[in-house]
Amino acid sequence: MGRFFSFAAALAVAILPLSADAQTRDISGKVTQASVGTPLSDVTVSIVGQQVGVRTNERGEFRMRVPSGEVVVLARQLGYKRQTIRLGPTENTANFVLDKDVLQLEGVTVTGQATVTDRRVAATAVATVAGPELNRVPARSIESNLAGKVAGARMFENSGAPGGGAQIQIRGATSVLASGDPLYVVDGVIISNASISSGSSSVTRASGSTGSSQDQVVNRLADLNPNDVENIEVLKSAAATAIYGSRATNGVVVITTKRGKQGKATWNVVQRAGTQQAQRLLGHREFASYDEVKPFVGGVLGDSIARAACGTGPCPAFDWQQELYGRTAPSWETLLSSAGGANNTRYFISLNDRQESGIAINTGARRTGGRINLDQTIGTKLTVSAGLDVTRNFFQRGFGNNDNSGVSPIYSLAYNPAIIDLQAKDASGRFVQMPFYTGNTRPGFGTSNPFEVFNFADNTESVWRQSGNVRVGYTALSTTKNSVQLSYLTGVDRFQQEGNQYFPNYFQVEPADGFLGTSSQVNASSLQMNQGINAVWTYTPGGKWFTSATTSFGGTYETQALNQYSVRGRGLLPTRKIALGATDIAITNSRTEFRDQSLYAQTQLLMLDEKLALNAGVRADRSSANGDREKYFTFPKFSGSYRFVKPLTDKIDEIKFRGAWGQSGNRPRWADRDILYADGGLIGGSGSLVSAGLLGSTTVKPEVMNELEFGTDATLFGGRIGVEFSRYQRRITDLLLTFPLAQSSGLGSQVINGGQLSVLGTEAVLSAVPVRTGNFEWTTRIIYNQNAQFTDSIPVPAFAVAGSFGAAYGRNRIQGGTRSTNIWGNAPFRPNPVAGQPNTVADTILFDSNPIHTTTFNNDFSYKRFTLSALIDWRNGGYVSNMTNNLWDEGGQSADFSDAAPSSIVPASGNVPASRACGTQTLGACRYATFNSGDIRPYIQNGSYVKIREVSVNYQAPDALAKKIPGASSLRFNLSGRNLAIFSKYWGFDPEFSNFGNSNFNRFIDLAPFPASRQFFFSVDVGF
Amino acid sequence: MTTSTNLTRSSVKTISLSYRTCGALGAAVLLAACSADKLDITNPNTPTVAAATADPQALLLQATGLLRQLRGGRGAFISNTGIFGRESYNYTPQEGRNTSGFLIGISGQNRLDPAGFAVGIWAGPYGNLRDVFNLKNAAAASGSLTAEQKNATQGFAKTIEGLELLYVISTRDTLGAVVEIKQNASDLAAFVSRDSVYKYILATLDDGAANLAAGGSAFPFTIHAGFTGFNSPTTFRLFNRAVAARAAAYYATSGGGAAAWQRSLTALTASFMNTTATTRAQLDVGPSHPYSPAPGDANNPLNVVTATDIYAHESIRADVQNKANAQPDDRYTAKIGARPARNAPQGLGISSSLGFNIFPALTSNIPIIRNEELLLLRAEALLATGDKAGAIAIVNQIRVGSGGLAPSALTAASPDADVLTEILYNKRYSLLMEGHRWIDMRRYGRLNQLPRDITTGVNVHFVARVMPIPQSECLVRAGKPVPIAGPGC
Repeated sequence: MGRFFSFAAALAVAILPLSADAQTRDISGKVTQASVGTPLSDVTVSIVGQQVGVRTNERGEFRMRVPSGEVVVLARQLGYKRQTIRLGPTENTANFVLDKDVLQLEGVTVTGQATVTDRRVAATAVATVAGPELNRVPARSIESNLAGKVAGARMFENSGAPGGGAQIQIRGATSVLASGDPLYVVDGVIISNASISSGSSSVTRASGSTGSSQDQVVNRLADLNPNDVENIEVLKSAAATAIYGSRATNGVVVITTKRGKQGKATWNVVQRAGTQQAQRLLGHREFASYDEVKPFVGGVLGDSIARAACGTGPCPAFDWQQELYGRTAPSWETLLSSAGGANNTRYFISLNDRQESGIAINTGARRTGGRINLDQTIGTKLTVSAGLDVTRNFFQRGFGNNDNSGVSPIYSLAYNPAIIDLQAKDASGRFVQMPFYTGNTRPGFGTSNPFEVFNFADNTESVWRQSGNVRVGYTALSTTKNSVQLSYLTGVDRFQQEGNQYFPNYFQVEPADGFLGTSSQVNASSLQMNQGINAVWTYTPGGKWFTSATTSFGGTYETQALNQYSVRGRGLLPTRKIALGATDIAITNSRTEFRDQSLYAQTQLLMLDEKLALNAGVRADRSSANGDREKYFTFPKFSGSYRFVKPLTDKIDEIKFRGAWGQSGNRPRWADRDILYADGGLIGGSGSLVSAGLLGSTTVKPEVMNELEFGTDATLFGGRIGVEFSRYQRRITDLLLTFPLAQSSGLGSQVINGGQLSVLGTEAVLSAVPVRTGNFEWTTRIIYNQNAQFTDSIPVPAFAVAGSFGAAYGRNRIQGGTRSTNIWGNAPFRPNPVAGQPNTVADTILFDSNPIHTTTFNNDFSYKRFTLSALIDWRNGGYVSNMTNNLWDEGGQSADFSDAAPSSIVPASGNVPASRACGTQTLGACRYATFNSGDIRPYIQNGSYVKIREVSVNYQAPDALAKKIPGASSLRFNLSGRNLAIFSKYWGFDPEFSNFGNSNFNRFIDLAPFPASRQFFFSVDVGF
Repeated sequence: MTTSTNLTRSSVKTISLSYRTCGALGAAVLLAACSADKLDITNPNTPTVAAATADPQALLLQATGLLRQLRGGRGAFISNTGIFGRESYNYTPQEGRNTSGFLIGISGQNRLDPAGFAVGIWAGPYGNLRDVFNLKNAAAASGSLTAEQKNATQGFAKTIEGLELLYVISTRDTLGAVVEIKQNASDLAAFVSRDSVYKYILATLDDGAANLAAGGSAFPFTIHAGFTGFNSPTTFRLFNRAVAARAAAYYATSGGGAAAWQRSLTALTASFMNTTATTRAQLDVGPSHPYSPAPGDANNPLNVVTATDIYAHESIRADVQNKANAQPDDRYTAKIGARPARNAPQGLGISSSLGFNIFPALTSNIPIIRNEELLLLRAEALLATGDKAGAIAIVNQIRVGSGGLAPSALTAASPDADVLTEILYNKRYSLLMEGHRWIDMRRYGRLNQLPRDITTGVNVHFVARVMPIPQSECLVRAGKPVPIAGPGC
C-alpha cells in the first residue's frame, strides 16, 4: 500500500500546476435525426478533443458544463455522422441534427488499453462491424457472423456440424508452431478461444489417443452470444495490436457488448423459428448389375446379399447420405433483452436460448445464457462498470472427419455399395449391419451402419462458461485543458467442458480392438484472468494547430490456466457408460499455465485542426513462457495520418493518407522453455524416465512481427462513396521452430527461434450509395482481400508442417524462398536419370492453397419498410486436398466413378506434364489409379467458390400495427437464410472445411467432414 | 509531453525495468502481480532433467527406462520384419500403406520409400541409445555408487546398447549405421560400415560382460520380472553372452567369417544355453518383455485379442512339415490359428485366413532371446565350422522336442545347403514372429526364396533387402561430407 500512496502523491504533485482553471457555464440542447426529426437518445456530446462527455436522454436532450469562452461541441453516435457546433461565449444552446452514416465512416477505433480515437483520423486500417450488420442472419457462432464483413480477415467454418467450429485468420498465417489465433477481448476481458477435443477419437480412432484436433472440435468462441454484441473491432496491423504485446501477431478482435442507455427501460423480444437442410451431398455410385458391384461386396456374406439385391437387373440404389443427412427438424432461438437507465445507473440484461437442429438424427446444439452489464456513476468523478455473462452450451455433433474404425459416415460409406436399405432392421429389431467392407462370412469390424451409430451412440459436449468484468474509472482531474482519467479493470473468463462418448458393446466396430464397449469422458477447465491499471492524460490546449495530446501509461497482469483430464474405458459391462472396471483404461491428464506481465506507455497527438494525427507507443512484456522470465520484450509502434479536406475538387469530401509501423509478438508455447525428461511409462510395476523427443530451449523468446502498413481512405460525392485501401507488409522473425535433430542422436528435435515469414497483402473496400431516392436506397460494400505468404528463410532444414497425411495427400511445407501456402505432394515430375524412362515421383510444389483473392459483396436495399440484404462471397483460387474424393474413389463408390474419363485427369499445362493416360478407365478409377501411381494431382482440387452467405428480408411494421400488441412500441419481421447456395466445381461439400480444425497451415485438408447445411430463419422482433 | 517523448525514444529492444519502476506504476492490487516471482511456474506434467536427476530414485527410473524403451520397439521389429520375411501381414482396413509400404514400396522401383511407412527401428533404438549414454554417464559420475555398482550399471547399459544396435544393423545391413551418441545432440555422428557396426557391437557386449563380471552380487536397481533368473550381474551376464552369440553369428554371415563363428560358439558356452533342453519349458528359458493392463503400462502389441489386423502369411501353412501322424508340426499347431479370411485394402496383398496364437493374452510376455534360438545358433555355427553331425543333432533335437516331428533324414553326407535349409526351417517355425525369418534368409542369400504374392502390375511385390535410412535422418545430413552424409543416405 505504501507504494500506492507514494504513487498517488507523485501524481498529485505532477498535475497540480495544471489544475488552476477559470469559470464554467452550462449549455444544453437537443439531438434529432435528420429528415425524420425523431429525438436521438444516448448520443455522446462532448467538447472536441476530450475523451468524455455526456449522453442525451430519451428525449434527445442533454446538459453539460463547459468552460466559459468559445467552445466547439461535438455530438456523435455510432451509425450517425458526427456534427460539431461552435458556441460563442454567450451562446448556451446547441441543437444537433444528425445524418445516418450508411458508409460507416464514423465511429471510434481502439488505440490503447483505455484510449480510442476517431475513425476519421485513425492512422491504421480500421475494421468495425456493428451489431445489426453482424446479426443480420443468425449463425452457429460469431465467426460465421463475421464472414465476409471484415477486410483482411478470412473466416472458415471447419465443418457443417452444428454448434460452431470455425477459424478467423487475419492477414495470413504468422506462425508455424505458435498460436495462430487472434486474441479475443470482450469488454476488456481476454477470453479463451481454446479448441479442446471432446474425445470422439476414442471411438473413431482418428488418432491413437482419446482426443485429436480431427474430432470436429469446437473452438470456445462458440459460447459467445452474437446478439449481445454492440460492435466488433478487428485490429490488424502490428501498429494497432502492439498495445497487446506478445500475444498479438494474429490480430486482436475487440468485442464490445451492449450497455444500458439513459431513459426508461425498453424490452426487446425476438422469437425465431427455422430449419436447415443439407447444402449439397456427394451422392452414391449406382450399379447396373451384380457383376459391376461384385468387387465391392467383401466376402461371401456380402456377395450373397448383393446377388439377392441385384438379381439379374440393375442393383437397387439407395441414397444413404440423403437418408442420413436429410433431416429438416426445426431450430429455435429466443432472445430477450432489456436496457435502460435512471439517475446514475444504467443496465443492459439479456437472455438467450438457441436450439439448432443438425441435419442428421441426434445432432444439434443448444446455447442458453444471460448477460448483465451495469454502469454506475458515483458522484461526478467515479464510474463503476461491471458485466457478467453465464452461458451453457451443449453439442451433439455426430461423427465426422478422419476415422480409423469405420464410424465416420462419409468415410465409412465410401467403401460400401449403396444397394441395401441401411434403415432396415433385423428380426431382433436391430439395424442391419453393414455386410460389405471388411466382411466375409459375417459383417466386418472395420465398418458400420451409420444409422445405428447415430441412433445409439453418445457423443456430447457440454460447456459452462462464466465471464465477468469490473472497471473502475476515476476522473482525477478535469479542466478545460487537462483531464486525467485513472482506471482499473479486472476480468475473469472461466469454462468447464465435458465430453462424453459411449459405444455400446453390440456395435459392429466394437470387436475390432478386442474390447466390447467403449466409453470416454473428457474434462477441461480453463481459468483466465487479467487485470490492468491505466492512466490517461488528455491535454487540450485549444487553438487550431494543436488540438489535443492524449498520453497514457499502465500495466497488466494476465494468467491463463487450463487443466485437462480424460479417461477412456474399453471392454464395458452392458449398458455401463463409465470407464470404471473396464478391461482397458486409458487416462490422460495435463495442466498448463501462463502468466504475463506488461507495462506500456503511449501518446497520440491531434494537430493542425485535427488533420494531422501522430501516435507513438511502446509495450514491454514478460512471460512465464519465455526462457528468461525476468526479461522484458518490447513492442514499439508509430503511426500517423493526414487528412485533406475537399482537396482539388468539391467532389472529394476528404482524403486521408496514413502510414504505420509497429511490432507485436507471439509468445512461446507451454513448456517450450523446459528441458524435460519424458515419462517412459510403466514396465513391471516401475515407472521410468526416458529422453524426451523434443528438447526445450532455455533461451526461447517470443516471435516478433514487424509490420508496415500504408493506406488511404477517401470520401467522395458528399458521402455517397467511401474508399479504403491498405497495403501491408509483415515480416515475422525469431520464429518458433523445432530444429530436427538427426534421429540417430536419440532425440527428435529442439526448440529454437529463427527464420522469417512474410506476408504482403492488399485490402480494399468500396462503399457506395448508388441509389438514394425518397423511398428507395441501395447501399453496397465490396471488400477485396489479397495476400501472398512466404517463408523467406528458416535456419532449419525444410520441413512439412505437422497435421497432415504426408506427401501422398499434399501438405504445406516450410522451405526458404517459397510460398508457405504452397501445397506440396507427390507427382511424377522428376526426370528419370535413365533416358526414355517415365519421370519419377517426387515431393514437389503443386498448387497454392491461398486464394488469388477473396471478394465479398454486401448489398442492402431498403424500400419503405422493407430491407433486403445479401452477402455474396467469392473466393477465387485456393486449392484443397480432397481426401474425401480419394476415399470415395478408393472405395469405388463416388457418384461419378463410372463416368467417362478424359484422356488424362490433369491435362498438361506449360512445362507441367499431364497425369497418366486414363485409357479405358472410368473417371473414378482413373483418378485413383493416377493417385496410386504417385500423382496426387487429381485430388488437389481448385477450391474456388461463390457462396450466397447471407440473405435477409426485413419488414418494419407500422407503429399502428405494433401497438396492437399490448405495450409494444415496435414490431419487425425477418426472413433470413445462411449459406443458401454454393457455386463451385469442387468435388465435395465445401472447400472451406478442415479436417484438422483451426490451424496455421494445412487447413485445406478435406477428409470426410460432416456435410454443410443451409439454414433458414423466420423472426419476429417486438420492442416494448 | 516530456514523458511521452522520453518513452518513445526509449524503444530499445529490451529494457530491464526494475521491480521498483513496476511497483511505482501499480495500484495495490497490481503490486503483488508485478513481482517476477509470479512468473515462476514449475511444469506440473513432466519432470525437468535437472529436477529428475537430483531425485534419489533417478537411477532406478533411468535403468527401467532402458528396459521400457527396449520393449517399446519390440512389437514393430517383429511385425515389420515379419512382413518382409513373409511371416505376417498388417491388414489395418483404413491404412493400405501398412501393406503397400512394406511389400510394394515405391511402385515399380523395387525399393522402399525412405519417407514412407517402413522406416521404423531407427528413431526408437537410437532414443534408447541416448538413454544408455545418459545412464552410463550418470553411473560414472555418481558419488553414491560403489565401484561394483558402477560396473554392474555399466554392464547392464552396454548389454542393452549392443542389443539395440543389433536391431538397427540387422534391418539396415549393408547401409551401415551410426554407433556414436554425441553429448550435444545437434553434432552429427558419422555413419560407419556394417563391419564396423558389428565390431562395435561385439566389443561393447564384451566390455559389458567384463563390467558385469566385476559387478558384485546385485544391481543398484531392480529389474522387472521378465528377467527373473537374469537379474543379478552374474546372471545378467548369461543374457549378455546370448546376445553376443547372436551378434557374432550375424557378423559371421556378414563378413565376419570363421573367426566370428568361433566367437559365437564361445559366447554360447558362456550364455544360458542348455544343450540338453527338450521340453517346451527348457526351450523357452530366456528373458522376456512383460506387459500389464495397469494404466501407464502397455499391452502386448501382437496379442490375439487386440492385434486383430495382424495376419499370418499363408505360406506358413503350405510349407509346414507333418508329423508321423500326418498332423502338422506342433509349432505350427501351437502358433497358428484360423481367422476370418481378410484382405488388405484394394488388392495390395493376397487374402489370408491365418493368424498368430503365439501371444494369447494382453499380458503375454514377448521373449527377447530364448534357449531354443541359442541351440539353433549353435547348429548354424557348428555347420559353418565343419561339425555337420553336431549341427544335425541339434536340428533333430529341436525337431523332436519342439516340433514333435521325426528326426530329419539328414546325415553327415548330406550337402551343407540341405542341412542349412533344415536349420532355417526350424528357425522359421521355432522362432515364428520373433523377428528372425527375414534376417536369416538375407544372411544366407535366400531372400529370393521368399514368396511374392503379386508378381505383376502396379502393385507388384518385391522382397526388401534392407529398410531404408529414414529420409528425416538424411535431410539433416544432406550436403555434409561422407561419412556424415552416408553411405547409408
